[in-house]
Amino acid sequence: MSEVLAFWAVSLLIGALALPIAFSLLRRLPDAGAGLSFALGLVLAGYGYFLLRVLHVIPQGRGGYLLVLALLGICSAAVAGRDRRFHATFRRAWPGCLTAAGIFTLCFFTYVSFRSYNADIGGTEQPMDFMYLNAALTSPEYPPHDPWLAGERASYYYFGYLQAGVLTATAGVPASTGYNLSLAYTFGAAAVGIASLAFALTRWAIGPRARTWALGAGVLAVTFLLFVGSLSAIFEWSAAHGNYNRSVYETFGLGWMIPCALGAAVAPSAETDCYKGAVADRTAAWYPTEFWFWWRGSRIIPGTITEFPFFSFLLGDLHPHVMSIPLVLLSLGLSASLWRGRRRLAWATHRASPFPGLALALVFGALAFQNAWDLLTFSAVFALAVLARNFRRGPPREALLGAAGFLLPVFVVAVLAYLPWYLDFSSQAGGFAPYVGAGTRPAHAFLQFSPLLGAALLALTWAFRRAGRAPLANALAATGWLPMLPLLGWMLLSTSNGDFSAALEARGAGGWLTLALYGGTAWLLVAASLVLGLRSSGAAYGVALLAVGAMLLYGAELFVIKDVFFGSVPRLNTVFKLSYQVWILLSLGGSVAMTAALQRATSGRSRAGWLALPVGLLGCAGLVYPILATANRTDGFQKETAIDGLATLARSNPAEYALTRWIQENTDPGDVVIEASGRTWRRDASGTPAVTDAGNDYSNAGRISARTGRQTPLGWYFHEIQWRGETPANRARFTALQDTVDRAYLGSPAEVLSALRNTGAKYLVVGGGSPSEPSLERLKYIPELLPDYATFLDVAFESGDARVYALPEYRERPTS
Amino acid sequence: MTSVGGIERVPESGFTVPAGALAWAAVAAAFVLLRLAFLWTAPVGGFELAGLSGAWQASIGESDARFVPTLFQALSAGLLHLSSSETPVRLVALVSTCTIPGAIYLLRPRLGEAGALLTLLLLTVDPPGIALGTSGSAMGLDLALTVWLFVAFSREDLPTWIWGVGAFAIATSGPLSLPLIAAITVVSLLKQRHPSGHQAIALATGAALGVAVASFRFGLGWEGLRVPPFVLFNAGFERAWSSATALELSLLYSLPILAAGLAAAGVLAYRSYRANAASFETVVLLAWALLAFIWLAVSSQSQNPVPLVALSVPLSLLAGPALAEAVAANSRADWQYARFLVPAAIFAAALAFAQSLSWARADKVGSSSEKVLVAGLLVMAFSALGYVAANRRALPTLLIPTFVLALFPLIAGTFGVAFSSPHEPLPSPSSPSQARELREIALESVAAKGGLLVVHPSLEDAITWSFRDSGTLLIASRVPPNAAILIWPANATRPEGFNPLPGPWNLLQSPAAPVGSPLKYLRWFTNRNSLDISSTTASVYVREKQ
Repeated sequence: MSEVLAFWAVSLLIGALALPIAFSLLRRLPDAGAGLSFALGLVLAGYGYFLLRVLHVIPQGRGGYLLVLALLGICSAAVAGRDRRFHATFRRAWPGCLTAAGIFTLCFFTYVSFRSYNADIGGTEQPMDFMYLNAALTSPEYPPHDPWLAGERASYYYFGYLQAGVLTATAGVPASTGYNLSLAYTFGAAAVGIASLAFALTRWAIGPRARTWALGAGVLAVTFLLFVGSLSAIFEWSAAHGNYNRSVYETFGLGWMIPCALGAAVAPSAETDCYKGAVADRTAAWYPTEFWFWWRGSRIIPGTITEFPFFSFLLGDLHPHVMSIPLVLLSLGLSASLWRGRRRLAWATHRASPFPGLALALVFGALAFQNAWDLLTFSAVFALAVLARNFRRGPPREALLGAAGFLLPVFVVAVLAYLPWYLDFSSQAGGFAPYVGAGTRPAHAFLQFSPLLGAALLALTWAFRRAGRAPLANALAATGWLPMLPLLGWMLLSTSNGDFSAALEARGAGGWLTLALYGGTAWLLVAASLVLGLRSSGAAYGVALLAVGAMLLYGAELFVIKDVFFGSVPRLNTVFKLSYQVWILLSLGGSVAMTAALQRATSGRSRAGWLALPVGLLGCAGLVYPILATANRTDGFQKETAIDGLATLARSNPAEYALTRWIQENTDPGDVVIEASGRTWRRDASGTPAVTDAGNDYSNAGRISARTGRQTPLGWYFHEIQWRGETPANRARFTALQDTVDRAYLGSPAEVLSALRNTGAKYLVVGGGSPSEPSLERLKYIPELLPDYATFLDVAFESGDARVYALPEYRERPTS
Repeated sequence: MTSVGGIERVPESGFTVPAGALAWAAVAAAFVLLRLAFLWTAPVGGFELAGLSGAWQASIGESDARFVPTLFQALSAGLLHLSSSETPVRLVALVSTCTIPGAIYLLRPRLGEAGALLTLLLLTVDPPGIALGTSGSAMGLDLALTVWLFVAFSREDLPTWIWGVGAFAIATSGPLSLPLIAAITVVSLLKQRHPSGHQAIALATGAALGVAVASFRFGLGWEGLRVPPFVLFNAGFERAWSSATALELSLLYSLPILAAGLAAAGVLAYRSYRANAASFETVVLLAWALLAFIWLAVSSQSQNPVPLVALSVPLSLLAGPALAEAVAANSRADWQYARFLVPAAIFAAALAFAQSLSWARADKVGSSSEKVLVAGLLVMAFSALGYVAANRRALPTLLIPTFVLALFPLIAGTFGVAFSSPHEPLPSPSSPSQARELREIALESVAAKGGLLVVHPSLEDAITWSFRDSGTLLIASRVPPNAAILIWPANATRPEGFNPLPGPWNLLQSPAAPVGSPLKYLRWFTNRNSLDISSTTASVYVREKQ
């Protein structure tokens, strides 16, 4: 518990340290940015740590992190000292500060309670996340090394892990606990960030007197963002209890939830459109108890991942797109604050006061470093906000020139500030391509997005009122090109690729209908934001966010971003990552739209506002998933609890746990450790050892490295390919590394020594296990072929059957 | 009470220092003598062992992570080049530390005559301060530098070059002054008090020069950018500079000073808040104490005594004037009942204490009747004191029992450290004389029989200091064919062809801190040699005759 409290206290401290800077940048928000100061403080502290480590000013270790926090405090003092309105702002915003701290605390501890039932770091990509967290914490050099490719630096957007490292190290908790608590921090910071923004946008939309409504919008926004899930859970719940109607399920494209016909022989691995598991195992309680129930809510649209925030926090992967939620909200808050400002923005703005521009550059530059997918979308929102403000304040030419003069330096500094990262980062995005496969079925879109899209569409119930027919028609006409342009682009590109006619057919009627719905929604919302903007309404920004969200959904139906999955599941990542952004945008804008609609309905100004009630019902339906999935993941809150992500390992395999701890405590952070490559070796018919399974991703390969941050020659093969490019040279190099590692477990003593020396390794691991569950090294290799290491290597550590062997040392040491 | 430059000055009436000059001389003499005692008696241990090991390696041109290029480490390396003894290095630290009475004397206008004297008294008897200010760690100059920085900060007529020299000194020192620097920076920024252009240039130049010189390791070669205070601040979390944690050391040695200082800080902060006026210097002093407290709090589980010293300095500066004020109030207090009740309470508490001591010696709590007796005595003592405390005018008389309560542990700790035995948790782990004897035996054997002196890598760091000036050793994890003597892990199996030299051989020893129960502490209080000592032991093997 003391570790949880320390982590929570550090989170609050960082938020408090950043308050003066938040006041200065986000003064226009009702809470003066208190709700976003958590994200702001952590971004600034993380950047400070990154920069000072790269410059070798601070050393690796907890002291370095504390020095950075001290530096953040000094910067805040400088800002507070220069800010003449600091005291006045504080007097105005202190209730907001306390509320923000309260929301964060509530959400932080709520998530900690939930996570304690599933604290184990294992499965899916959690070992990878843990590896990057440990790399950020322990790397002797910065930019940090890649523990899964010895000798190389990380080539990934790892800023989130670096920030998690700031919290973990400052609080003085082990990385395995910091991992889980970082998820809790993200949950809390996301909640307080969106509540703060929704409160502000609602007050701007419906007036400062409607404080209660604005508070309601904050609660609604938190619910939409962090709790609402896929509606498919209702269907699966019903099916699990044996209540289903085949035609209804098939209409919704959920035929796979209905059990396969009795007596039909279905192989477990077969791709089927019916449920092939044992019906009796689906549920033994009021909720579906089958293990994978909770997973399927994120795979509703075929060929894609339709993850949503609640699923992410349920799953517990500490992924960049999850950790970036608070940063994304901060970027939206900064854009909102800029948009709300009065004077025209231009180069002169920076000359008069350079520090806000610098802070903006650090925050928007961090978008790429934290989750590169966010850069384009939220930088575009930022640029649009600056443009909109300037258009409000002057003629178009001056507005454009001013915006360019303001934005260009910010973007230049944003790139320069993170240059050390860009130099090591190898983006695998290969540009845009038209999507020529099957489109999203309307039923699937409904199951996934209807609560949020419904809330978004509520903006139309009040945005066009009092607009007048002519201005409305003008707005619709002026914005019509927005959905048309991407469609034309798609047609041109697919025609030039020779895929046009096939693409027309492949999309299917349902796909075209979804596209039309998305396009129409986007068009109406863009027109609504234009109408509101022309009226200088405070609601314009919130509606514009909805329009951006709808445009992203629309765009993801037409185009894909080419990556390593392009050849197999082309729009896997595009829909996944963009729909995640959509979830944030629609949660925020939707909560404002829905609150405004309800407020107008209850005050008798708009009957259409009562449409919020059916949309609210959809939202309630979206809450079925979190209720069922939480019960499922926690076994009805009956599981053992812990907050240390290695607690399960410590219980189930004490020898391996002790080995892990020994490596953490007794090896240098720069040491290289050889462990099983993850390839499976067995004797072939002639008795010669041969690889029978070369796959090692999503396995225990690289486990010691992931748990300690020490480098190993190669971790997950395909992930390294993803990070460094699918080239013949990389494939050859990584395979050679696996061969070298495998020789260390199958070869002669000379080959073992050669493998250690060739990979720069000092240690070799043979993990711990039991006869029923042998260690990875004994499982993947041929136990009788494991060399007798003790005869030619030093036994540096032993516990049970776990061993760490070290290269023998011989060196002279002068003492005089 | 008047305020000069923000730090409240004690009224001259009420409490007078009899023969003030004599008192200053006596306290200053005690300050020096206690440290001299440490210099001659203390074993090399804790942060000093790390510092001297690093300095020795640097002096022979060997790279070692324990050498952090502070000015004092560089001086140490130079002195070790001349003599392999730790005494000259300690002497340099002592000389610098002995300027502290002068610095405190200069603070009289701010602290008051009696306040300054009591501040010096507190610094004199601060056990971790004695150890840090007189030992050959990398931070030997830090204590004096920190106090002098505060003196410099509280003067307004400093020449510009002092800013440059100060920045250079900070950049080439340890982390002790970091809370003060941070406090000055933060408060200056909040109050918009910026140095002049010339001062800023001097600061930047001094700091840049200091970092440059440190990065070149004072001429030993470039090993990348090094900012010594940051490196040592971080090292305090990563390395074991004492066998006890900072929290344990606080409880064992500094509790009275910390309690007095924190109480004084609280009162001063409250008064400043109520008056809605606090001078710049007062805010800096409070901020300094707060930052040092945070450092100690986050280091509470680190094996590092430095944050404790960092906190005891500002708290002494706060507690000195507060104590002077309390003493003055004590003499004006209403003693009508207190003159009976306070001695009675002290007597009752002393009886309870005596009984507790007998339990501690026996290492078990006595019978029920004894427990009832002790509880009854304590209830009587606290009731009497409570009754006195209920009368606001009599409240200052409680200073006497508080003083009695604080005096014994503080003095015991002070003398324990100053006349340090290997059984004292500060400094520790220490290098025992046996390690040096082992060196003599090993070298004689190698000289007589030929072959190599081989040390296992796991013991390499532990023998750096005791095996200094021993020619070339072979660090090996396996027995080489030409090995004559092996210094091997105690738990390793005996190598074939070697006979053990009867041991065990202690290379380092660490007394276990007497924490966990009050009885343990009391036992140690009555008998400083009662602690369990854990050792890093080695087995020594000599090659059998062929």
